[in-house]
Amino acid sequence: MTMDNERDNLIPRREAAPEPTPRVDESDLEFLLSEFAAGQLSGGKAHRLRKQLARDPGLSAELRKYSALDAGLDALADEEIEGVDYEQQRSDIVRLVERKVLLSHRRPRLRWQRVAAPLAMAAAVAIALSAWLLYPTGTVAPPSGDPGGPETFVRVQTPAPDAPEGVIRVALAGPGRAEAGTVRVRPVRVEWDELRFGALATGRDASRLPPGTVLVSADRTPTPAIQDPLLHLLIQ
Amino acid sequence: MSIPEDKTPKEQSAAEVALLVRGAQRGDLRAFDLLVERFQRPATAVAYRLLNHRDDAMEVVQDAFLKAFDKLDTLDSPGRFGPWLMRIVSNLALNRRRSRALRQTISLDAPPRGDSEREWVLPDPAADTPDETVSGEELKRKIAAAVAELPETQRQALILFSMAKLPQKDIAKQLGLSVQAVKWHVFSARKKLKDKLAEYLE
Repeated sequence: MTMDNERDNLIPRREAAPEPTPRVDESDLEFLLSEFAAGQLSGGKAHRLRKQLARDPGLSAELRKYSALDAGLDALADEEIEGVDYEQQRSDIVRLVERKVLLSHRRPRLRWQRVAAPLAMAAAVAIALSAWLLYPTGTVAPPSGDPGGPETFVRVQTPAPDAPEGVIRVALAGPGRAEAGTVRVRPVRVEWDELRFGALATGRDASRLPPGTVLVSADRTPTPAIQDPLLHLLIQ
Repeated sequence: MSIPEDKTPKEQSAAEVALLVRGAQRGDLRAFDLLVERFQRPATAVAYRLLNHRDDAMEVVQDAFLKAFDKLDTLDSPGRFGPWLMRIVSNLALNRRRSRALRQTISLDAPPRGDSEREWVLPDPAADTPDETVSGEELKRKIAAAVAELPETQRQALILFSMAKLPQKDIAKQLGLSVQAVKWHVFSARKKLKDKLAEYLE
């Protein structure tokens, strides 16, 4: 390749003349010919031009020039650039990608995985919460002498067993979720023989709870706004 | 998964590419390696023609593949990886060209503006010496030299249209022009090349 610009032993590019206003006359025969050769012309225009080409050998010769030019440009697009080590380039790119994957500790995720991951997490939280809320005594104290590791200390409070209805509010303060506590939900009727909950709630006390704590408490405040998408999924 | 045999070569090629893209989306780096092998030459050629600088072009291609890998799961039609990659390549190349121009403009310690700062092209000894017949390789060289002499916008529009195979509306977006203007630039460039190289294109 002879035009690899290495910026020495060169001649300056000719100054380009000011470019005219870019407006093409789409009825211009030369323009139609160029578009036709590039596969950009269809329908009636292409049909008319074909008929004209069949009658006019000079026009056909011009079309052949455009076609030869396009073939040359295609060849240029597949050309190897002098001085480029393609094997090296390829191995550099793949090495960088491998490094990227290793550093991010992840594989590229599929779209369904992006959707499924929060759903799976929501399902796991739902199962865990259901287990705590269905616990018959309503309150689970931490094991004595155990300061409460991240997953061991859980306290559950529910409305009094004789209350006809109430609101269950849940504060989550698990690992990585110490900020939980802004989620509010609609009130829910509590059926004591079949404890249900459709809602999870606030964490006014979240800052005081150790990691891994789930707190459920009675409340009558109807606060339906849900700000946490994970918990929103959970109550659907 | 196999590729049906009743497809045209173009469809088969797209199906093969789609298989590789899906593999790479699942984290198969060997599949991504094969995509690099398949597209690195056209990507480098386009970047080189846009930038007129080999090392810059190689960096752009590397960045483009890394970006493509990062965004692979956003690619809706895996068989269209090639055009999608070309959009990334041309976008990065044009950005680099703009920032290079900006650096040259605002550089405080640059030498006084003169010939040393102008854009240069290598003379092609074969470019202006017509002969009776030229081989495909020679024609390619002559076309390359003629492309390099086109006015900047015409050159970029032609490269994006004829080499990167981008749709005109994408080119318009990348160059900040109207589609009409892109049509004009592409046509003007093609006509100039055809007229200039007429005797070699017979």
